[in-house]
Amino acid sequence: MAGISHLSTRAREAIKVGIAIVIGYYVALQLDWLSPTWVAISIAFISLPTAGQSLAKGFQRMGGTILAFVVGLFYLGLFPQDRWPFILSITPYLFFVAYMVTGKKNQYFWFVAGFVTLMITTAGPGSSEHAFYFAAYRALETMIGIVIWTLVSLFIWPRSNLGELKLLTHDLMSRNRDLVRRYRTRMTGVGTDDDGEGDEGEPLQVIRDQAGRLTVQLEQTINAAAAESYEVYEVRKLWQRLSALSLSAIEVLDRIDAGLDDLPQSDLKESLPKAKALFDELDARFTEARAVLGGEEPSRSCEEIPVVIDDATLAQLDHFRRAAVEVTRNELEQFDELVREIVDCARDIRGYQSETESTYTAEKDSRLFSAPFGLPVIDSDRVRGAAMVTLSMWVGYLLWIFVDPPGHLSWYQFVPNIALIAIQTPQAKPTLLKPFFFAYLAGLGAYVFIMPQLVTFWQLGILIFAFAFAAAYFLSPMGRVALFLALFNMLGIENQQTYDFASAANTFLFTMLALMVLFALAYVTRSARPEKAILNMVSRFFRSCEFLLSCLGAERMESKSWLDRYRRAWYLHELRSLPGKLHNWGRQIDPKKFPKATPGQIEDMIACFQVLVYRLEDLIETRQAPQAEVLVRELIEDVRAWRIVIVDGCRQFAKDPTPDFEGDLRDRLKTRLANLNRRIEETLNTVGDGEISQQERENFYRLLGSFRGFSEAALAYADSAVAIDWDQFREERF
Amino acid sequence: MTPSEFEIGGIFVPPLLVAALFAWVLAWVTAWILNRFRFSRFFFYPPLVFLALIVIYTVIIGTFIIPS
Repeated sequence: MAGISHLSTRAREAIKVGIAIVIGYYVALQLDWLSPTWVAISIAFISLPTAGQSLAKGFQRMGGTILAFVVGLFYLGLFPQDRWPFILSITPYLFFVAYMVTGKKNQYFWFVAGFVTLMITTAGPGSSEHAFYFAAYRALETMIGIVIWTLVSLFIWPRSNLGELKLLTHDLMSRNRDLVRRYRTRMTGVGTDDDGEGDEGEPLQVIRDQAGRLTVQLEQTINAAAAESYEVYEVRKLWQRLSALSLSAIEVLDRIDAGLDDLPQSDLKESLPKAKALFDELDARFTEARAVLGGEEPSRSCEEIPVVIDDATLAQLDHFRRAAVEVTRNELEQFDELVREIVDCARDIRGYQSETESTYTAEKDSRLFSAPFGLPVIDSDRVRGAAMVTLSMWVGYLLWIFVDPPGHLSWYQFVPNIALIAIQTPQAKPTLLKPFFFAYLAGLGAYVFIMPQLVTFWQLGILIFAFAFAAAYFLSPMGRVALFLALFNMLGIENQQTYDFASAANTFLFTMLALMVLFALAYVTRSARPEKAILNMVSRFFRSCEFLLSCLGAERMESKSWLDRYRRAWYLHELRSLPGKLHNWGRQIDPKKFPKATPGQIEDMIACFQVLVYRLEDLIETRQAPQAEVLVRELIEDVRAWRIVIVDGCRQFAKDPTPDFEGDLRDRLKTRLANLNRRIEETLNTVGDGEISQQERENFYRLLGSFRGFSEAALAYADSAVAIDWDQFREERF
Repeated sequence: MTPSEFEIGGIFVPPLLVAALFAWVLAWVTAWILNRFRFSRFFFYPPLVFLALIVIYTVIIGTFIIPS
């Protein structure tokens, strides 16, 4: 027993999966259900480490199965004998489901809704009665699979999410506090007289990345904990809000960080004299939030520290520096508000009265740049993935009808089902064939040499356990899927077990052929090389910048047409989503093959993209704020001239990531900004007292800060892109 | 006329399938060599070339080495 207690978590989880699948098969065989494999499939694909996580996934699986049950029978009932209307009618459904699979919410629900529908519709050709039994058994066995896994995970080495939730929030608040301390040092030059916690030697980027990861983990754990604890379920909205607020806080810090390069520390320290006091307060607030979430009673109230600007110091700076100080102040105010909300949210979660009314909304979408009628903004990469799944279904269907290779009807459902898995990680290397080949070979070996020797269920149980344990313990996620599918498809376990080598060999052959067809489809429709994807995305990014910048002109900005509004929303979505996608693809670049595109260089470039996004968002937001008419009238031509230079720059970058004109762009931008600075000086000298309100002055400086910030970020991108060998990226390879 | 199918443990496999599998391997080796010596840069869209190589090899093997 001592040995068992020392087992690693991974080994324990693998044992649990093995036991649950054996029990699943036992129950299904005892009760002589239609296909005992479905219970096992359900267990295999919801078996996540903690009970709550599995329950949450199990509910999604159940929901997806019920939807598939209804939809599958609906399509079968609609076109029972008409193959072309049938496939045509199911195409938009599959396209929609595949699009949703790559979204942010309930991906697993949509995945199940897609693949189970295809499976149910394959049950149709015999009779409608058969189709109903098929769908009903599928739903029943999925449910029983969820129940079995829940019981196993509750009674064997149970793992609770509550402890994990507490640990995560503690770590997240600590990391946020560390970030605050780092920025305090960076902006005020004052070190920390902390309590000794946290590693002062850690790079800022490491702390920021950890905080980001913890926020993502927190979001996942909330759903899992809510599924297993009523205490969490009751306040799950507050937990979700805490997670969203933490994410926004990190984003605002990123924005502050992006602006700090433009400002010397001395300027900041003198022009924002209360910055140190504010950071001390923010530090104390995170400590308070951590303590409250940890179960302690609230011990302090949030203090009001206004972020005031010292006018005398500000007057000594040129207009662009004043603008940068104004932008930083605005962002500090946002951060202050966010941290206050985090503390209030922590109090609410623990049942204490919060101090202020909640006002902060995580999404700060610009009015004029949101889609009309709240329409969803379509993501082009997700559309491509959905088109790939639909195309694979058509190819499989046509192959079945006109060629009828081994596998027959399965071509119609297996190929799109694997495509549904593959589109969830488009940047993953297309090496599906290798894990499936070895997994199915193992399955074929077990079917031919071991299965015929087995007499009792317990002998079979050991074989099933060995497969499930190996899959869960030794293999990568894709290898795990492959070995589970090999177990379910190759062994073909049934009550009346018969052995047919031809059938097993055909299954093996069909699987390999189907994967080859899928690989060929994916490969021919789009190069799988990450460097090509990056080139494409860089170009799309600058096209989006070009479009949005050109929209800032008065004429296009005020256009109320639906199409213009949708286009603006679509380009803004592109702009916001591309840095994340580039990050995923950038990690696939092999530094051995691309010595002049190291992970560090790629990350530097992506960081510049992120700054460009922030600055363009600021531009859009401040462009919509009321501006002093006199300033607009006097400076409109200079601002337009700047915009023309930067739009032209983006157009060139979209064509070529490192155009030769980079030096020229730098000179032109500097000239434009210097002219603008001079003209502002002249204009402000001629403006009388009272002609510009304080609010208008602030708005103007924020707008100016965004202009400058965007220009600086574009030049920083040019610097980072020069280091990368783009010719090698462009070179065609197989 | 004797059947030209390949027999593996009672399973008959069509010669064209065997030819296509060999063609796949040969196309893969060819692509690797073309990548290795940077000849692939002369192609407009290598994935289509890869597909064309499979077809060409299948026809050659299917005609001269493993005829149906």
